Amino acid sequence: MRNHTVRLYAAAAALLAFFVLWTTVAAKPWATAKQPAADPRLVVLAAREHRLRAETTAVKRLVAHRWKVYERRLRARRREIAAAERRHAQQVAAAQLAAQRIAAAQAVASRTLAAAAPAGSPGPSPASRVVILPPRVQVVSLPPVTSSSSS
Amino acid sequence: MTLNPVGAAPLRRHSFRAMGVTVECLVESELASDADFDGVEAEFERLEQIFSRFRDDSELSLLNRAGRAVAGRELLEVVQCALEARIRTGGRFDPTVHDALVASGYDRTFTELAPTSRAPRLARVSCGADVSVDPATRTIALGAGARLDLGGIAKGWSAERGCELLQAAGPCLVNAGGDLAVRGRPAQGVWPISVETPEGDVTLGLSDGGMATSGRDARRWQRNGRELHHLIDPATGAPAGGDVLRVTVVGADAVEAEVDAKALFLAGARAAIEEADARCLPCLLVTVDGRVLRGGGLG
Repeated sequence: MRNHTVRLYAAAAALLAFFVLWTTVAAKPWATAKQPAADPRLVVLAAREHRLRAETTAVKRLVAHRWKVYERRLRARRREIAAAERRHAQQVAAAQLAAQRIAAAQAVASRTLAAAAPAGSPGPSPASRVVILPPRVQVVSLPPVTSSSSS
Repeated sequence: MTLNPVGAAPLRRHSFRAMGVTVECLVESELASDADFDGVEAEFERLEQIFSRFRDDSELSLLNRAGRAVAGRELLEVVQCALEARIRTGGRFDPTVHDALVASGYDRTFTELAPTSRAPRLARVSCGADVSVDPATRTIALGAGARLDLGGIAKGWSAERGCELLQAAGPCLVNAGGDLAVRGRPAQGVWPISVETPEGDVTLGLSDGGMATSGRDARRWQRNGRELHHLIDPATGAPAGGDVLRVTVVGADAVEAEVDAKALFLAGARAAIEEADARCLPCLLVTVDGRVLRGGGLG
């Protein structure tokens, strides 16, 4: 009785082992797993993305460099403009001074001409006539409205 | 109000104290109102708050303390004028005389200054320090230890500013303690301005531009028994010597006249007259020994 039971269990275990072995062999674990073939369009897109990212980085670097150069040149240009404005202001001041000198020199010249000319002689020809600008200041005999003194 | 030639508008007059001097405003117009004069007075107060070296919170004092500052339009312009004047006059006009003035004892407003005092002798102060102005950033940078005094040039500039405010009302004159600007001709053609000389007052008829008088006969004090005055010679850092007592100059505006008056004062009488003649710069000069000299075509 006991031997029959043992034989029955042995037969069942052998059958189970057989099926397990069968399943294992049927699965062919020694064969390499075959990868699904990649979509060529995705491959192209990935390559393009990589290229674009690289180009973007390069363009950003270039723009940053050019902006720095532009700012440097702008600062230099502004300095040049400020210097030109200062020179212009100095030239205007010098021109005003020169105009003042000319006016005074013309006044002196006209006095000299008047003193040198004999009485009754005709005046200077129109071509040589000196245009006399009124002097900025002269001694007058009017009652003063104010005074200028050291302060 | 003063009566003027027949048919002329009345001459309106207004005086007030500012910048340590009496400021006098004259307008020949019926249109001039008290508000016009009040505007000039307020403007002088505003400008004094910028240019005064005696006010701790003035823009100039802040710059002098910090050595570098972003300046307002007015301070920037006056400092630029002063630096250009320093170049033009070969250093005879110099805005960096602040420390020399203080060392001489002029360290507070003139009304607060004791007429006589004793003090330890101070080391000689050098002038002519580097000052740079960057109009783009509106920055003024003072060289090491440099401090600015804009007293005279600021008064001239303020007189011009006062005239700008008044000229809409009519021909006008602003006299800031001897620094004098005019705009427009009055009915009599010129503005008669009296200048004191030992031979009697001379009246100069100014038609346009500005006039300034610089001299050692005002703002004087004694220190350790020595008489000092406020006109510093930048070459020595001390009150100027020489044989000129006072010089009055007419220029294109009050600022230019102020600069030239100081420059001629420092030149000495003979050189001053030669320079005035060469530059056709009308001037009236009084020497310490009482001579009166005229130059620059002033008849």
